[in-house]
Amino acid sequence: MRNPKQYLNATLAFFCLGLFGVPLLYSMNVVSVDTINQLGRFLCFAIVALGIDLVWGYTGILSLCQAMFFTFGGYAIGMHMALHGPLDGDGIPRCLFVVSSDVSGMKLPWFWEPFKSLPLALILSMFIPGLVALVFGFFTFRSRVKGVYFSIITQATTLGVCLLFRRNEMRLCGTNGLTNFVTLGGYDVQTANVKVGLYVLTLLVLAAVYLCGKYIADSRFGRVLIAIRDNESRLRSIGYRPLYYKLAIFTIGGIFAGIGGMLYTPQTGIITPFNMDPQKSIDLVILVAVGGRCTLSGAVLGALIVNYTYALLTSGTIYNYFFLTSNNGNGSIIQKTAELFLGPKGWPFVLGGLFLGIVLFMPEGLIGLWNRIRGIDSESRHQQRTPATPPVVDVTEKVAAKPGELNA
Amino acid sequence: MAVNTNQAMGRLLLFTFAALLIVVFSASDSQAATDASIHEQLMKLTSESSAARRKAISALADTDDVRLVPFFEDYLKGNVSLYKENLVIREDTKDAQGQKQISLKDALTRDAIGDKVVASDLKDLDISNKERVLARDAIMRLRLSDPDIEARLQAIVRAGDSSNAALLPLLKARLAAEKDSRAQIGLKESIALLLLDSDAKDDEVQSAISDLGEVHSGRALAKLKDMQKKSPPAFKAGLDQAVDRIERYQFWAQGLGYVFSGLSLGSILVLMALGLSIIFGLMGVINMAHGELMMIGAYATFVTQKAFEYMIDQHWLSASSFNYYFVAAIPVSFLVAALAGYIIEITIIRFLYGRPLETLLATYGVSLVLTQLVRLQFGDNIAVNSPTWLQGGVEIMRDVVLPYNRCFIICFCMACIGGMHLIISKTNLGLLLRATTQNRNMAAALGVQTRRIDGYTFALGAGLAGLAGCALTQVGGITPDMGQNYIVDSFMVVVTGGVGKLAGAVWAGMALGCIDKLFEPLFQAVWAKVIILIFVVMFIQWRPSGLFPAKGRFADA
Repeated sequence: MRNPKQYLNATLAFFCLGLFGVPLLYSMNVVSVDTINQLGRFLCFAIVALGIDLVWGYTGILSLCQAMFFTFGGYAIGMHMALHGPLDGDGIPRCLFVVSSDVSGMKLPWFWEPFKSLPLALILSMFIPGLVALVFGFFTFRSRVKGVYFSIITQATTLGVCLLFRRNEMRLCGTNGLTNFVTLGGYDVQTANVKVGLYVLTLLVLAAVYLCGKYIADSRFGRVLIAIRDNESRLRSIGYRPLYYKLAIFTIGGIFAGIGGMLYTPQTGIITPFNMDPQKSIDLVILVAVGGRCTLSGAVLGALIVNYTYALLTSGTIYNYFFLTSNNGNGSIIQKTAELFLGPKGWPFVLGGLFLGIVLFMPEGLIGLWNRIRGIDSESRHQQRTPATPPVVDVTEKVAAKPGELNA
Repeated sequence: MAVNTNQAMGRLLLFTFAALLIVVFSASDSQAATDASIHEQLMKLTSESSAARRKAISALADTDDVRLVPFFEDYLKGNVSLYKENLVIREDTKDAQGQKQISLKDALTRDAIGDKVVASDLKDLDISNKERVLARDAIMRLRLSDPDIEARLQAIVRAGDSSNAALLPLLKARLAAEKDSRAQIGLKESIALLLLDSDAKDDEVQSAISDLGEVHSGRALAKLKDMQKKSPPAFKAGLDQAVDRIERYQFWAQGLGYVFSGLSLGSILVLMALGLSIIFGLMGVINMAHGELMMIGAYATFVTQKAFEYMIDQHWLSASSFNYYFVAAIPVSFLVAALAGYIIEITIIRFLYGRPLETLLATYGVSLVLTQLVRLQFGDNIAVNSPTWLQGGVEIMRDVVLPYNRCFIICFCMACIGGMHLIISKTNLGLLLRATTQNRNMAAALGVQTRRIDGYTFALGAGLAGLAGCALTQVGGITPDMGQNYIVDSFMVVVTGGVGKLAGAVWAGMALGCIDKLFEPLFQAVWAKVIILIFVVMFIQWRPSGLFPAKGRFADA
């Protein structure tokens, strides 16, 4: 960020490559439409990651409910698409019809009605996550729940909502989730052209969200967010009210996640409660951690790299490339080790290793590494510098604690 | 004088010995005598006359000898034959070559008779339908007088459910002779149930209904409710009262059962939360891998069981010692989990000091790796066998059974809490732990090696999680991802109870466990969980630092 021009150039180059290069390659039949579709989905995660970066990287709030906001956005658009897909009974979407117990005389639940209109569904897919984030954030931030407490509470909330969505009587299609999508705004989502169109749309939205995030980060508001991260009580002493800043950024993060979900659902064709499994939220955090906290381009980069690695490993592409095609060293220790880490079963090891490696050795992620190589000081270094005496921070902030507390 | 005493003693001894002999002989005498008379009656079953056979069956039923139950069962199946002037039980088997063989057993003692026989040596008995009915009746009667109380209770329940009004006089006779209070209640219930089905007089039915209400018969509830709908108004008041009494009793009995299973769930949560809480209090670190440490404890128990099985296979241990594998598993699971925790601390957490959010992510990474490692090694689902001394339960009230395994878990948890309390308040390690928790810098300045204390504390907390896993094997299946199911709940306990406080963790754990189990039947499991989560989130609004907040100058700004 100290050299905005350079980053701007690189970002612009990537953007142009995505906007013109990828469709060009597609028209030349170099990449398949499935690859573009996959890339589009990864870009959705990048949008979510931007929100997480603002909330966690800049403000220091580790929210573990971003997957919940993501799924809210996905459900909003998914309900709209289900209502314009195959219908059973009295205009009940098929995915809802198959899980409902009262088959005869079932009416469309009232809360499905607004999603019939596309503009309303689009607005709601941003408004609902935003509103939930605002209300939830207000109550938790007001009572000064912070640090790991906040992470735990958000994780528990995600678990609770996930369990609720899985119930059939919630009339949100239970564990099956929303499927059977056919059209979106009159276009058939199964066709290749629409898929490429959705990809381009996602890329444009990502660019808009990125610019929006950049505007926030570079503004005075953004400086306050960093101040909250580095020393909230000091900021409060100066006369700021961190509550409103935290609330604002948490809501914005929720809306970003909602937008990500909104674009994700038409591209996968399904959205289920498992998209907000508590684990999924932590997995989203690693996207930002890999790319580099407190750098917006890092969030996007991390989302693309981690997701692409995930796709390569779980489909077995890398493993097959090295071992099945060449057929050398069959059954050797090398192959077994490779299968353990590069095969589909190895993903938890790789992901776990990423968590550990990033946190232990590269706390500033890939961008931080790049900056360090080039000798550039970055925003996230501030955090490292401030607690030059970590034990002091500890005693006053967390352990702070509680005289005679262990005297049971 | 002394001689006299000796003589007296000798005489006394002699007398006692003689008396004993007489008792023993007369006992075996009477046994032999009954056996002979039973034998005589058995032989009458071979008689040509159906009336004589029926008389024999009734006489056999009157002997109250339980050994006749399997005999009559075989008799009904047609397995009883006459062989060399004796009744035998035949069994058609195949030998190693697949040849048909007939093996014989004595009718009463069921001792094998080694004779080689062919089908023509045996003569089948004539059985008519009347005898079948009588034989079935005889089985019922013999079972009702089984000296084993559990078997007798089972027979009584079965008689009550049989809707066979012909059993009424028999049950009434048994009730008069019965001495055990549980059997008496069971008999009363069964008699009343049969009366409801029979065409008895109105006043008898009415007293049966009130009897059922009195013994809080859960079995009769459906039937009584059914009668409420269509019976004459004369019974209305009695029925309403009885149904009301039964339902109220069942409500409380079930409630008690739920509280009990809530306490045992709470115990496991407390064990988990204690470790989390101490670690969090000391280092400000949230250990996302805590659930996996519990899983390691559970798998350590499983491996201990396997080791015992192996040693028994190799005849290093006697087969009966299998029951004690669980005793060995407790320290094993503690040590294994503690070791794993210690390794995690010295290799990872030590380097993330003062960065709680990063530690959360790193330990989450550890949990992913551990889960997958165990999954690859052990597969997806394995079962631990409970030792026999943890199977079954104690019935403290009618319809309220407390399973031994849950009792054990609660006691085990109490013992662990007591142990933790002693460690923290009495030992040197506890002293250093408290000092470091309260003021790390000051403790370090006074010469406490705080990093070493961190490692030990982490190991201790991990060991507690291992113990929780060990206890959990007795009530649930173990899977590689079992830790995930408990980690959020134990976080809730830590958050509700406040950080680093034994008392807080105990109260919050027990309360959340009970609320969970009490809400479960009312709202279904998922809603119960959601309600608890909402409750905890609200609770945090009200008391951000838990049930027992810190006071004074250390309280958070």
